[in-house]
Amino acid sequence: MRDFVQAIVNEISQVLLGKEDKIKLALACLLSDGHLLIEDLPGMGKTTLSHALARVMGLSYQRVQFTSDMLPADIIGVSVFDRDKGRFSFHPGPVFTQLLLADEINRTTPKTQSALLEAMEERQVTVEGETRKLEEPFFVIATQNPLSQMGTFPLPESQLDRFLMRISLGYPSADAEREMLLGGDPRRQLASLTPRLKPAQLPKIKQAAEQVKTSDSLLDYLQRLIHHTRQSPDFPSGLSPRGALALLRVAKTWAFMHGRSYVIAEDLQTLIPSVVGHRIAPSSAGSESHEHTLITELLNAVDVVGA
Amino acid sequence: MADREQVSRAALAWLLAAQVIILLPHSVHAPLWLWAVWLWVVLWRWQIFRGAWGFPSLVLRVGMMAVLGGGLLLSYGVKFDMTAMVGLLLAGFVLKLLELKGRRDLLVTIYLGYFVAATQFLFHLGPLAGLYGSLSLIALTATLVAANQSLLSHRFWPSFRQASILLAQAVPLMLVLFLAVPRTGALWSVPSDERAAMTGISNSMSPGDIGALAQSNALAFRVTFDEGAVPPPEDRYWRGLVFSYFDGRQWRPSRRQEAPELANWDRASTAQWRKLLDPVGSPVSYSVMLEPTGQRWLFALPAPTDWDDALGIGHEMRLLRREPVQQRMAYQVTSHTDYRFQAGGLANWEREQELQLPQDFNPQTRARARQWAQEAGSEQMLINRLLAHYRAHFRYTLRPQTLGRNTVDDFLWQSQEGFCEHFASSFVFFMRAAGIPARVVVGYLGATQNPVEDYWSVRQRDAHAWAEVWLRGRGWVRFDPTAAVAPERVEGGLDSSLSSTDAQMLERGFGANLALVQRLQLRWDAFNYQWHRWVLGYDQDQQSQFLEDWLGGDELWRIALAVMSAGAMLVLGLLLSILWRQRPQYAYPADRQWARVERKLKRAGWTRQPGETPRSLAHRLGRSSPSLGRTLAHIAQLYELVSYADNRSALAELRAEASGFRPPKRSLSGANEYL
Repeated sequence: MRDFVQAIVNEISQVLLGKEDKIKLALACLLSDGHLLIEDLPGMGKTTLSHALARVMGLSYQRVQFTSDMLPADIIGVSVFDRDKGRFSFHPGPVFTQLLLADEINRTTPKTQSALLEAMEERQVTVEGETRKLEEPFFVIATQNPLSQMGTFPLPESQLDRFLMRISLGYPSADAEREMLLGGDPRRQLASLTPRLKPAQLPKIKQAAEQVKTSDSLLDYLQRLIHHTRQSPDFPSGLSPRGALALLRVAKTWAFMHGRSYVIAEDLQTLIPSVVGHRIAPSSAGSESHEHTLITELLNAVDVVGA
Repeated sequence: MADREQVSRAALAWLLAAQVIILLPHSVHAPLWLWAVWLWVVLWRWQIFRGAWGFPSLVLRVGMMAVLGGGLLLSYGVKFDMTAMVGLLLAGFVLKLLELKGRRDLLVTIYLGYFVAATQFLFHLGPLAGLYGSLSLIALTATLVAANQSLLSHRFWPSFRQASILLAQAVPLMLVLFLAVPRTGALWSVPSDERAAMTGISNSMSPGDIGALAQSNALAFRVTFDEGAVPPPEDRYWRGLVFSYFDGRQWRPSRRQEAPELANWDRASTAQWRKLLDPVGSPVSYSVMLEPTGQRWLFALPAPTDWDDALGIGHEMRLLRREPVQQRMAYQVTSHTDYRFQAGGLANWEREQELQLPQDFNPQTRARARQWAQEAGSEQMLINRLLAHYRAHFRYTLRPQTLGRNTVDDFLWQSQEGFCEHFASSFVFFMRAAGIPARVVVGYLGATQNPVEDYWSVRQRDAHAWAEVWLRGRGWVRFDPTAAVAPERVEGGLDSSLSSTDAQMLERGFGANLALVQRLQLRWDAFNYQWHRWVLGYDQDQQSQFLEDWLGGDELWRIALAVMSAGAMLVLGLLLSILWRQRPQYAYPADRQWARVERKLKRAGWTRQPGETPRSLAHRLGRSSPSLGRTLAHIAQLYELVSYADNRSALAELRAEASGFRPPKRSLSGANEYL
């Protein structure tokens, strides 16, 4: 499994240089059957990463660029009257796909946001009284600009919660940047990526990841972490049970990706910023550094070893 | 207003329960109508609680108090003794319920309750009474607990539990106070309850007195013989009273014998008296624990040669006390059972006293005595002939025929059956009529050993009367005419000397024939004895003895030191237990091993941040000390295996690694480890 994961990571690294960690995190999110939110400044490779992931995982994908004048129908689809047949026929929107890239999701209005978010949660859409199942698997990789940017509609907490993980890419290292500058436009290379995964493999991986052991000692540590977020006055809100479950789910996948049959404390420590970050300090605008401080404090304050 | 705070339901319920508990032991002496009053007051109180009735007005309360006072007067009479006063206190305690408006009243009533609860010890002092007293204390304290709890708390039992815990915690302190605080005499003395009838030998003897006493199984006294030197049964005559005056029906002490001031109390007069006594053979030492008799005389084996300083000795060789024995008392005596007393002769007054006979009583006996005295060659022969007469014709029974005016005549020559007082009385009368000084001695004969504890009990059924005759050259000699008729009375006690019909009259206690019950009774008796000896009888002497034994002296500094060191030990114990409870608890074995590793690291100067996993610690320290990093990485891996993979087999290795772990000392240059 480790080699397999490494192969995927290497494949994607061809188009997104020096970001192996982030690629792994994104992969873990998708393998855990969760939606991913990538938050960063424009031009940091958000779209590249999502495209690369879609290709490498061998999923059919659609891309939607969110704008402020979008309507829900632009995503979900619309019924059009067919004069030849004398009845309405449904024209499915971009949401009917395996992997949906929702670019700059916070550029659009809350109404349109929630149309997508409903689809993420229910894995189905209802158009004109008719409920339609989405494809299986169904992933959303959304990107958003930092909230401080002009023309953004922040996602409310409840909707942020729908994303299993949130990652930000950050500037590449100097070496990676040099290599990228030498190599030319990475977008062009996207087409050359080979799929490494068949959609049929996904349920198996999910099932195997669920078998990963979480020992009592580890659950104790997890509970100490949760307890700390709920007790400490520094945290605006504690981690919800859903958040805790999400963390455990990704941690299992993470351990499985690393060829382990058990979760270790470091798995949690690695994943907490991505899984917990947007759940405990979502609303304060431009608060990325504050949130980072909170997570660091959380990890430093809670003893890994049981007393 | 705090003092107008409502009384909670639980507190009221507890107060009522406590009242029942406190009143119950007083039922023995308090008038029964007090219970009726209590029920009525409780009913009223209940109606107040429901809001149906109001509190009684002042007039009504004064009226009730007057009625109760009148009732007490009727029940007890005008004589206000202790029992009546306790009755008044109980009445007040009961009526207080109707005045209970707020928390303050409740507290006052509870504190009054503590006092009332203590009054039961005026009447009962046994171990059961002690236990019952604790129950009263718990009930009252539970009331106090309930009174201090929220009004909304309707639960009944938690207060009881808390009160029990509180009092149990006070027990060590109580023990220290009991054992160490100097015992002074009572600050106030309780007026003795004169109406309380005490079973026991009385100050006179007429036919049937001792026979009646023999039917009581009550305890007279207990004896502990020092060093196990127990005298043989024929020497277990416990002398108590000497009767020298006979009025034809009753034997009584002579006026001289009755006057306490004539007894020898001080050293000088005692030394004078000792000259009359000529002890022979080896002494017997023993201590007696006497049940209250209400009398001043004590019981001892003849002849006492040494006794407690506070006691005095009468001229006729009886031990006396200045005050009547109202409480159980203990005294120590040494006796020589072989002795000669007044062998040198009798003073004239004494001779006269011991020959006194009422004028016109028992003419037949007088005549017969004179005749036999002339026929007999010596006093001894006369005595032998009389004893032979008893032996030949008499029967020992608890139910003799009633005797006429001339009791001795009727007994000696007609009915010829009777109990020890008949024999002793007739024997002495006969001797006196024959011109030989003689007197009746009353006391107890025998003792039963309690096999559980090493002591002997003497009961009222052992009461006995016998005779002492003064013989020239030999002094006073004991003759027991009863022994001539029923020798087994001396050897085997009362039961063996009576016919079966007689024996049925004796009080023996329930189930005396069941071995188990008998053993239990013995055990209980033994426990009672210890209770009296160590709890009730714990006086200044015992205290100084106790302090001597345990502390090596009874000086104040020793007591203070002992109490303080006991307190220090207690505090130390508490501290240790707190520390023990706060010791790190490792839920998982891997964590315990890791803690060892971390302790060693700490000693070497390395510390782990809380958020650092063992692996990341290994990684960080490896930058300063690669070898340490490698060792730690190995340990961290084992830790992960045990802790997260539940790999049991790695635990042994982890344990070995942890115990063999020797981290290098952190050098100063390692300060950049955070870089």
